[in-house]
Amino acid sequence: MKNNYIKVLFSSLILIIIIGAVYSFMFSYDPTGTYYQFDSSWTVYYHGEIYYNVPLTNIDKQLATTFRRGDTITLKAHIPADLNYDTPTFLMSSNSARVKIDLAGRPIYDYGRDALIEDTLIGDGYLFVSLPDDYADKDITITINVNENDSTMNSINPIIGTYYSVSYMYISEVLFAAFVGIFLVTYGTVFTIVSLLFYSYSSTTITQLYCSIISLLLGVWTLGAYDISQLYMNQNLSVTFEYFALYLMLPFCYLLVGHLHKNMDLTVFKVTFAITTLFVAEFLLMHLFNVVHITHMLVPYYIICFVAYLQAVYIMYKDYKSHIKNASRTLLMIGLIVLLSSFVFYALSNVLRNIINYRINPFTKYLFPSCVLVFVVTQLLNYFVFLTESFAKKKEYAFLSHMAYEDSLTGLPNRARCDQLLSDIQNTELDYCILSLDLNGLKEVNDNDGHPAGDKLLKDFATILKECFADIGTSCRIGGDEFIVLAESADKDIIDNALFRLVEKLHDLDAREPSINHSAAYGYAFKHECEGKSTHDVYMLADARMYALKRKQHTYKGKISTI
Amino acid sequence: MKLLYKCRIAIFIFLALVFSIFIYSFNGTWINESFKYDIMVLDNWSITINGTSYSDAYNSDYNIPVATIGDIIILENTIPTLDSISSMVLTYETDLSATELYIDDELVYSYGMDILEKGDIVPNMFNNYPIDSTYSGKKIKIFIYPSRYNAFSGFNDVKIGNSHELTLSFMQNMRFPLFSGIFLMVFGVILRILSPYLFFFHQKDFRLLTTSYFSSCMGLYILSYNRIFILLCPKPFINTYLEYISLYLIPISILSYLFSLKETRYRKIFGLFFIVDLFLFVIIVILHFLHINNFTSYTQTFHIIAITEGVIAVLLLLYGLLNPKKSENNVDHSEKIFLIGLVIFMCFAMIDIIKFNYSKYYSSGGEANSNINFMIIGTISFVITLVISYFLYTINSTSSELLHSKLSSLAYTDPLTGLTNRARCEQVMTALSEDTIPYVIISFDLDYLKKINDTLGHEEGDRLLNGFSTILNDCFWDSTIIGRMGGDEFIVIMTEDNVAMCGRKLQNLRNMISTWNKKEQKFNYSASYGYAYSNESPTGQAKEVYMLADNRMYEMKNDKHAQMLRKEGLL
Repeated sequence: MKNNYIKVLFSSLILIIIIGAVYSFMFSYDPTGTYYQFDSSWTVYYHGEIYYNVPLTNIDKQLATTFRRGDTITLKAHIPADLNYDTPTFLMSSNSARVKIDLAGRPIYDYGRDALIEDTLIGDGYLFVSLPDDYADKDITITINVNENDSTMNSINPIIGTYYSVSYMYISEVLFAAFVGIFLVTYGTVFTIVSLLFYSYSSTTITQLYCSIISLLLGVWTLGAYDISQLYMNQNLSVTFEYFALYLMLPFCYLLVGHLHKNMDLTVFKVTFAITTLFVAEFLLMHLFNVVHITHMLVPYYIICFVAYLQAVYIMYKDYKSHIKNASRTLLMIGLIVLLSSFVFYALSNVLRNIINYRINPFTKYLFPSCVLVFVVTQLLNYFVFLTESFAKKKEYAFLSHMAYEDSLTGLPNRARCDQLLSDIQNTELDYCILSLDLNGLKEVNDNDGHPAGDKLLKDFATILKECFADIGTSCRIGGDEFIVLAESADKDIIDNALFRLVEKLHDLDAREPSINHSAAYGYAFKHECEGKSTHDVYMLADARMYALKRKQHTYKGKISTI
Repeated sequence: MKLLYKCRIAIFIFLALVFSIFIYSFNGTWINESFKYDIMVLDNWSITINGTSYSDAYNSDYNIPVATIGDIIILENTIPTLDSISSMVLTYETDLSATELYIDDELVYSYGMDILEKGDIVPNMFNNYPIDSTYSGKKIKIFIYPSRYNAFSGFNDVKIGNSHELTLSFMQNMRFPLFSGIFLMVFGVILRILSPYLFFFHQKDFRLLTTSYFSSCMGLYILSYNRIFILLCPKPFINTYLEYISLYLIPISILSYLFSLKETRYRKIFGLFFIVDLFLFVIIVILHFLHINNFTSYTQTFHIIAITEGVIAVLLLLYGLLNPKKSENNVDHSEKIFLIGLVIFMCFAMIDIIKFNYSKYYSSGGEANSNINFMIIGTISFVITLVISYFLYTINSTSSELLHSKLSSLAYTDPLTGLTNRARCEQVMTALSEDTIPYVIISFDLDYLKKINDTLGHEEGDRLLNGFSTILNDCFWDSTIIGRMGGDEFIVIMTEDNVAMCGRKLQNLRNMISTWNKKEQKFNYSASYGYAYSNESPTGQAKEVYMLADNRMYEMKNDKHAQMLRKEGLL
């Protein structure tokens, strides 16, 4: 078993490495020579002050401030004269702010102006600015109108290049997250719909429902947070989706943990769940009614996230300590903890944005999507664990039903099975026949020659019985030395014939093993002989006839012995 | 029950409706980004194919033959007056063809000419040429050189617009294939990573492996057929290679799935198809690497084989589903639903193949206007059946747990006395042999059962057995097991602390039997017994301990017999 785990881990690891290698071969992009990157060549005008040589990746730190709504920042740089790209495109990133770009005093790009005027949430993400052909050797001016309090203005280092190289650079930057996000959205949708369909069937589907909804929300969030959704949809809409998904995720995580631990005493947990849900609902409503933008509540949201995280870890620890282990629950909890840990890390990176920008940092670029993927993988793995378990159960079930209805010594159907067969035949119109047999001398053999000899006698007899009545009916062993043959439709001649063969074979056995007496008493009765009565009566009649024969055999034997 | 059923149907229809609205709105334009510039489609081309001209043909309505290697196709037009759009490009798509672009009879752009000269297949490509408003009114001439037999038919639009907006509009149109393709691809990869688990823990099960191949092949095919890969990875040959490889591998993966199902009938037929297809695929790859024939040039053969095999497979599967074998009645529905999903997929895929060939060879629009939406819907329904079968699995196994506990009690008890049966006793003995805890086995033999059966009838015999088992139960209530080994043989196993109690318990038993006998009129309870401790057997095998106990029981029985004989002799 342990060996198997190692094999599984090993082969999965090798597969991950191979897939990683294929991925990096397919999607790596070498853009050398097709772009120009602005480093710290920016002059920043802010609140009447001028800062020189500021890199855009770190404006916040250089200006030693966080920006408030209504702030205006102006950035200026000079485009070198020797640039000569086709389809010239300028790429930068923005954070929920209006961005206006002028080239030598001529406005060429304006992002988020309408949203700023209407005071709705402005989208964030990468800005692809198409430059006019005569862009070289000119000043580029970026005016940023901050629309949200406490927002960061850190951007990637802007680049200028041909559109296609800029586009491939952007794609290779976000592709991993794009794969994960798109997968999660589709996976979540499909699973949510199907689990709603099976909602009422069992409690496992409810777990699955929560998991699928969380996956869907995670997918939407990933696509928004990594600026992928702007590829195929409206940017302002996508940022709203992103934050809605982020906020809704927490209540569903609570629901999932609560559902997995129905039997645990979770008063504190329930109270925090209620408070969290209220908060989230309030946040979302305030955003919908345009009182405060959703991004303003990020810090309080991170705090309640952290509380939830601590509780999940505590519950996981209690699970670990408790005696009742539940493999599927543990798996899902591991997935959830990994997910929540990555979220705590994400929140930290957001709060400490001067140090880490999760979009650019090569570590975080892969970290969050991978953690998100772990959550889905645990769900699927949970399914496969379930599958193997149910398969093992099915095999045991087959084995058990076999055991339950079969006599272990002779392999014939046992008494329980025989009762079943009799009650099945009770209500039919068939003129069935019940043959009752009693093996003579078993007791003597057992007592004199030991149980192995007795077992052999039983087995031999059962074999002969099965052979003789194979085409006629079902043979069962219903007690120590009692047997029954149930023939559904047979006439007297056939049964007499079979009995004749049986006696012949018993004689053959006698000849082979003279020390043991192979003989049996038998009697049979047809249904028509006791019309309107139950199978039990038919059996009793057959049994009585069997005993009559037995007595005859006894007196006969007695006669022989007296002779 | 009926009401519940109707409710379910209603819920199902409701959800299906929600789902289709969801898909529709997702595919709709309301979430699209609004563009600053217009995208212009050039119309009214005059076309010359190998010297024959088809002038003034309207867009997407050129009734021209399928383009084949050696053909030269020339498209001519005049660029209309252009607004001043920054980062403006002229873009057109070529299928398996090299191309040259002339503006005012001057060669400005070419793609794939070197590949064509080498005799290789030119990958599909989005050709982009940057222009500006000074190009208004200039003459444009596009040369297309197909690199393969039956390379394409029909033309894609030639567009002029802002480079980024052209990309965005392409992606927005491709939202559905983009999502389903990436989903299937990643799903396949995850299943592939997880498949060792099922392989090692589930009887070397290949199903997950084959499902993962199918899923990733479908995903890759959807992405590459729609040329999404060209935008995702900057190596155009990858898109074309993936398109053909994944296409060829789809039937192989389906057949290997059907072949890996152990219970299906006609497994041999599927296996045969699988081997034939795999063999053909290997040959194609070998021929490709020997530079004899490029592996993209077998689409027609592939279509014929796929349709033949598809029709046979669908018919066989449908026949199997509609006429289940008697023994298959109990097989749970999850597998069946999975097969239904597969049948749906195969039907849809075949519709797409037929549609594709019709539009390529017979319709005026050509292959450029065909799509594989049916196949995508088929794949999605396949995935949905996969998910449904998962749910059925979980539901089945929870309900089977109840049945299981019922059965196990049935399997392990003696029906007459309610004691543990022989099979279970043997299991426990095997378990004890492997353990080190001390135990004692007592073997009992109920006297006079045969006599009572023969003289008083079986009913009295059954009463004797039941009475004795009640006595055993009362006396050895705290033992590990009380079982009936056969007709009149019983066994008691006690472990750990109870071992020391054995003698006292047997004394108890004798007292109980005599109390019961005082009340009983028809017959007498009487039993012989013998016991043995686990440390008496050198090998520690419980069977041997039992034999020892059995022998001692027989000694007691013989003693009783002798006593009786002596009594009779005295009389």
